[in-house]
Amino acid sequence: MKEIKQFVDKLFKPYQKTPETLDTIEKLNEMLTEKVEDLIEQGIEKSEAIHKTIVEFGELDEIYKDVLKQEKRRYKRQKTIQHYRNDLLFSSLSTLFIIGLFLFINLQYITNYGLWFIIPSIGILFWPLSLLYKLLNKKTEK
Amino acid sequence: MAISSDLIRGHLEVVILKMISEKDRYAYDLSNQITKRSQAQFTIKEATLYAMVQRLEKKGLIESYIGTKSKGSKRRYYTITTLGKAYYQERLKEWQELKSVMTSLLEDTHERD
Repeated sequence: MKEIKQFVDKLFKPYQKTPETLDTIEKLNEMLTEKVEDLIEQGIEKSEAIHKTIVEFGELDEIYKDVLKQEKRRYKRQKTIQHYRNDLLFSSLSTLFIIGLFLFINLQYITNYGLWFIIPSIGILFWPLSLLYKLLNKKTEK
Repeated sequence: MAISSDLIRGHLEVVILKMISEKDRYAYDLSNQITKRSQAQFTIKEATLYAMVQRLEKKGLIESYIGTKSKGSKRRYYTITTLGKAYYQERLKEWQELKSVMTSLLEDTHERD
């Protein structure tokens, strides 16, 4: 039933389309269509039956809102983790590049202080390490 | 007097389980039964009913299947599981206890100290 489908789709517009939400949309659609069919069987005109069903639906219940909020939070968390992963990748590659640069200068130009490049290298290693720490922290928190 | 949905919410699970335990029912049948049996003092909105049914199904207390109604149209029927029956008995006992506690707390049948 087109009208019912539009109504349910509109209800769920603000929410992420996770598999769970899609299942809910389908089941609600089914349930409301059943009601409309029953009302028509009782002799109510189709357009009125649809109107009555939509009016009597109520709001997405508190209980259900909680579920959706949880899903939203989970989705957000996944996004943050992905973000941290990218940061970690970027910082690791940059660190490798910068250490390489130091090594090159050490071996080619400033050779009279021994292997001095290790000292700035340790410093710069804290960049990816701190990001790794953040990522692992986020992953363990619920 | 109509009953507010906040007041009854915690007990809706057991109500729905009772109706499904009598026979397999579909959603609109459930909401009709609730209106009828409460003499229209309480009506359940489809949104609430859906959330309840979904929760019961997730807990494994009820199961659903697609069946056909007398006139041939398809309906999603809900049926109670063994686990659901046991849970229903528990919740029923709980309700009876609550009822008797509330009665003794609120009714003036005791002598006051």
